[in-house]
Amino acid sequence: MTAALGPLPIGPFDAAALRAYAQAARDDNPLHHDAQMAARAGFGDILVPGMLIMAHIARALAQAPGVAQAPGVARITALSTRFARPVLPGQALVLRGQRVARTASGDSIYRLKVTGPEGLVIMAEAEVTHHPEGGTGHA
Amino acid sequence: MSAAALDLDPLPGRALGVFAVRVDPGELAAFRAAIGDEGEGVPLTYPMLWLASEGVRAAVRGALAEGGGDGALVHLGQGFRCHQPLQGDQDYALELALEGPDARGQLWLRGRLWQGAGLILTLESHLALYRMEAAP
Repeated sequence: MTAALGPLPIGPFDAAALRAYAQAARDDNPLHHDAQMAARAGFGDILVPGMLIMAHIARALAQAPGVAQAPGVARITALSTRFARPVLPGQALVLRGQRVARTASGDSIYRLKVTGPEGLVIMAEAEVTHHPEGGTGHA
Repeated sequence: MSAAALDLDPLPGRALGVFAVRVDPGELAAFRAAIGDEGEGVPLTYPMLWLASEGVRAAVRGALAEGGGDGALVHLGQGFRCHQPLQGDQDYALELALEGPDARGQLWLRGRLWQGAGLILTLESHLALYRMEAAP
């Protein structure tokens, strides 16, 4: 039981997007805004926060054809990610995945990959519940 | 909060405490805007905002200092599992524990979000300590 998902665009994220996220999420990790600090940690540029990308994965998944169009309101009840490679500002990413299972309660399990110019950047797994009416979470 | 009542094991690692947190409507709107979310609910990743609060940071810094850890924290992975929907304009209690750093400089910040005796959400941040080169 597989249902393909994507390709769906994620980003690219510019410096303004990083500043907006940093302010809203109180994320003042210098690796995300201070190029000198990023260099001292061994990176060639500031890094796009993985959590900003993760938030976009959740949004893209909830709105994806086949997820959003299923009966009821799609709510992501679980999402886990592994950040495989740093993402730099300006890099365009692509989300692809597939539904790999459906639980006894009818929830769908998706395995997801986000790739960038240099290959895989994030692996993720998500569990999506469809509620007959509105709900909260990433609906 | 009632981990024992729910027959849950303690979070592994060093307990950092229980932090009062809130889904503030203004902060929620700003967070949604920053991630381009036009939905109605609370984004699943919203609790990251709480992990960045000064109280939580101080607890993490203190635990790292006691363990001799120092450097920049880099995210290796993140997980959320929502047991009940997060609601806007609500107060919660966030229980946190820190495991590590291990010999590779990796650590795990784990949490449970409670409302009364109800478990709302669990989270795990997998982090790495990056040693900083000396400034030129």
